[in-house]
Amino acid sequence: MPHSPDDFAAYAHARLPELVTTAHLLSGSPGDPGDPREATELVRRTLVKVCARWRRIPRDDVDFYVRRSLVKEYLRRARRGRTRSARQRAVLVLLHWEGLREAETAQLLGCSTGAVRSRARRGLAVCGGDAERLRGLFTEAAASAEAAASASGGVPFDIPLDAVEQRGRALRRRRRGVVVSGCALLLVPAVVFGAGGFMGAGSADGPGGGASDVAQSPTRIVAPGERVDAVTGVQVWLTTDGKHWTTPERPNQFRALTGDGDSERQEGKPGVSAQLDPMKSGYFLSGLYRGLSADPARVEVTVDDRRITGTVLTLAGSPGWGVWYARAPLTPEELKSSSVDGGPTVTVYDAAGKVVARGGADE
Amino acid sequence: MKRPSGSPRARVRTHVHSHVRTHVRIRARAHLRRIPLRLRLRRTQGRLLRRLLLTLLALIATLCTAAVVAYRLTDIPEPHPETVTQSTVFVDDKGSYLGRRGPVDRQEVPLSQVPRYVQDAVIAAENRSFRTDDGVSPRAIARAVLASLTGGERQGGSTITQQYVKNALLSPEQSLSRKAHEALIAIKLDRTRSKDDILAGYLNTVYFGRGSAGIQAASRNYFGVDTRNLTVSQGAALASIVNIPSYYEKAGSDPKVTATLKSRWTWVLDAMATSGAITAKQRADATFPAFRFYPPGTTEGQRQYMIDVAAKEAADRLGITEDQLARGGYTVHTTFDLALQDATTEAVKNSRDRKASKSDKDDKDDKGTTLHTAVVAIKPGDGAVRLLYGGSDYARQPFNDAVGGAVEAGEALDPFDKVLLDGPLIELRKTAAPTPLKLASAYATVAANGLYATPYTITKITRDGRQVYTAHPDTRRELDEKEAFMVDAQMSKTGTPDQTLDKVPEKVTDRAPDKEAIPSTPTAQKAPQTFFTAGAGGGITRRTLWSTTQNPQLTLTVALFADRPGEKKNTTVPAQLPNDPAPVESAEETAAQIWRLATGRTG
Repeated sequence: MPHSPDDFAAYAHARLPELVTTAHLLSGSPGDPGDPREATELVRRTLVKVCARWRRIPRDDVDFYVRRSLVKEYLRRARRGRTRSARQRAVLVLLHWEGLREAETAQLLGCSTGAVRSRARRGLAVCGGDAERLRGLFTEAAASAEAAASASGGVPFDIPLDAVEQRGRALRRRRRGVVVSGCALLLVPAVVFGAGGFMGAGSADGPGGGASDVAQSPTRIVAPGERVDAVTGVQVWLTTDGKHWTTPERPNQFRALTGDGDSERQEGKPGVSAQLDPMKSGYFLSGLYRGLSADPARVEVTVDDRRITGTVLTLAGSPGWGVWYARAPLTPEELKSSSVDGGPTVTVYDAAGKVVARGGADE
Repeated sequence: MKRPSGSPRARVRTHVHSHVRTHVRIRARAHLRRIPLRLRLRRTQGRLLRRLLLTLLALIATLCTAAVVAYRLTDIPEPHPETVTQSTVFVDDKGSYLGRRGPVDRQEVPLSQVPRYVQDAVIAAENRSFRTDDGVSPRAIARAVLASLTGGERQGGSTITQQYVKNALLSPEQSLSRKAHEALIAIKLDRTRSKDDILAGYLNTVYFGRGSAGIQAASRNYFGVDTRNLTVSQGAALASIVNIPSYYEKAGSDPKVTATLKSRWTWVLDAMATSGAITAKQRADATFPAFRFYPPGTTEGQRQYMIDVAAKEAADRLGITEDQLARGGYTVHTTFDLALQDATTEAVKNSRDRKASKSDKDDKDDKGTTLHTAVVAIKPGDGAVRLLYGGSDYARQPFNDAVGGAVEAGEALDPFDKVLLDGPLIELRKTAAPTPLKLASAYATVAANGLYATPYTITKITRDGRQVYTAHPDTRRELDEKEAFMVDAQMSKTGTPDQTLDKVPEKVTDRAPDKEAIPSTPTAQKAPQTFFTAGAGGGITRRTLWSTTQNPQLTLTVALFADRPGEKKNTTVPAQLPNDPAPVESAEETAAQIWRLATGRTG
């Protein structure tokens, strides 16, 4: 069969009489031919539905689908009240008028072969238990219907195929609309959720901080009395009142936080000191800073033209004072050449890069 | 249409549509064959699909029922023992951390003591929907899967509730059924407890690395502060660590780890700023925090002596065993002054070093004699022990000389000869070798005009933010004022001369600081302190030496004695004090040094 939308009209026109006959047999009861208008209405409705899904009906099995539509439509209309007898009737008509096999009938009705068989048996029992008689009754009813049709002129059935096609197309459009909007409704939350998920995951990769952290002083928090090995042989530790350190040459040195000497007793003013300790390999450079509002970002020692970044030790809770030390000892030559400019100078920078304290080595 | 020729309808049709007859016959034969499978399937596909759907629905319904039944049957298990035990922490009089006792480094803090921004940081790092989800978060699981596939920032799919269930309530086994069990408990927990309860439980049990379970131990081990003093950036750093604690615990020492942690720290802070947990200014001001050393540097082995004494007393005061104390999660506030203790350790070490260097030069054989020094400082009239030095290193000598050592008193008891002693002081008469703490408390009685105070080392004990014990000085009159005056005069007379003026005349019963401070402080600063130095043995055969100096605020006693290995193994016998340098000067010098530090600090 050609695959064009128009072949529906051709098909419908060709099969119309048979469909009406079958509908007639379905809607009546054995022995009682039903209302012919009812049969016509049944066929019309069936054709509208078939037209609506005409494109999706497999072309090599059109009859099966049309027949199924008809039976379903009939069962739907018969649903009020007499479903069981309607089903039995459908089985009887399919088996004994259309001549379908039990398996096919089962496929058409969407039930098992066993169910078809039992319904046929019960239906037959209602009609008197004789299949041949039933066939006779069917033939009679069909013949009378056809006779009535031919008597009323060439086109006996007032089923305008144009109108059927129109309604079929409308039905198809409506169905498509429903499907599309349903899909859209399902999709919206999925899209929203997906986007949210992506947003959550997307913000995961933040930039790794500003690029401005150039050689910050390593700052470590120490407990009071916790020994830190600053340079080999040198231990530095803090107590709440000042800086302690031990070098191989000079054990147990202490520098108080407050008692630096009477002249330097300006509490709260930022200041930094530097102490030089002679060692075998050179000079150990360390000092004490105080009066800061936060931990220093950087402590820098300038010796000659060399700048050394000091390591900072402080007590917990940002007390505003702490100890710095240089990790590499200073050689005597460097010290000598720097002493021309007044010795090494120490500069303390805060996080913004501003100088907060400056000082020199004390004698 | 297919129709068998035998059907009645065909018979009707034969004359109506005779032109289709041939066609019908061909189709009829085809019809007799079995219907091809493809056709059959296509015809029944609707039915098959319907069946499939129903089966699926039934399955889902069964699963839901099973889930509901499982949920009903699930009990929230009790937290397992390791997450209930807490260690007991000892702090000195200013709150500096001395050390802890207990199997796990964990201390509970109520959520009210965890700053809101620290809570928010943990939520931002681990489970952003924590405050709104139902204990499990399908979104978080989906995101975790997505992140691991796309290689984004690692964020676990478990909610805080699930992690809490996993850490604290279940055993650490990994399987799918356990995951389901965990999720069920998490949902149940979420429905039965408040979010704050769950967050508190989580923060108090989660592992932060560096051996610390819970946020309190972590704050101490990473930043040396209490949880309530954490800053925004410290809180964000701790929250970042929870992800992989065993890796991040090296923060500060390993540059690579520090850089990784810093990027995660930035991510957490940014999320906090975005969600409004911190202000833009707080975000801008936050700088990556400094960490403590890991492993921490060594400290002088003094803390353990103090902890030993304090733990024993705390257990006594609470009426529990020391083991129960160690697992109880107490915070023991001691009377010790950690800085003074450290200074004392150094002063003693210095004088020891001087001795050592001299004896090296003299090349004198000491026959294995060990010199012991015990230093006790007590607040007279109160009994608070400020300083208790009884050995240089706990690892070498766990025995505390100041508390347990019996040091022959000799002439050091002479000032008490003329007075009648009873009560706790009567023991001084009974034994020839009192412990330094006992004798110091006797001297303190004199300094307090005869008011004896039982020495104590604990001011208060707290647990979960509640005070469970508070010390009340236990004082009783042992000497009347006249007797006290006599003993004091005796001590001053035998003491090192020329500094008597600042002590005796000012003695009054009322030790009100405002009365005392004005006249005595300036003199104490300027005039040298009197030392009462006496001991057993004389001349060059001194066996022990006691040097005491005091004012109404502090009594300081330094005891020197020596021993050498005895005949039997692991025994010692008293020995003579080395004479070089002169023990009297050495003891007084040490005492003077500590005295300067102690009074310079307190007064």
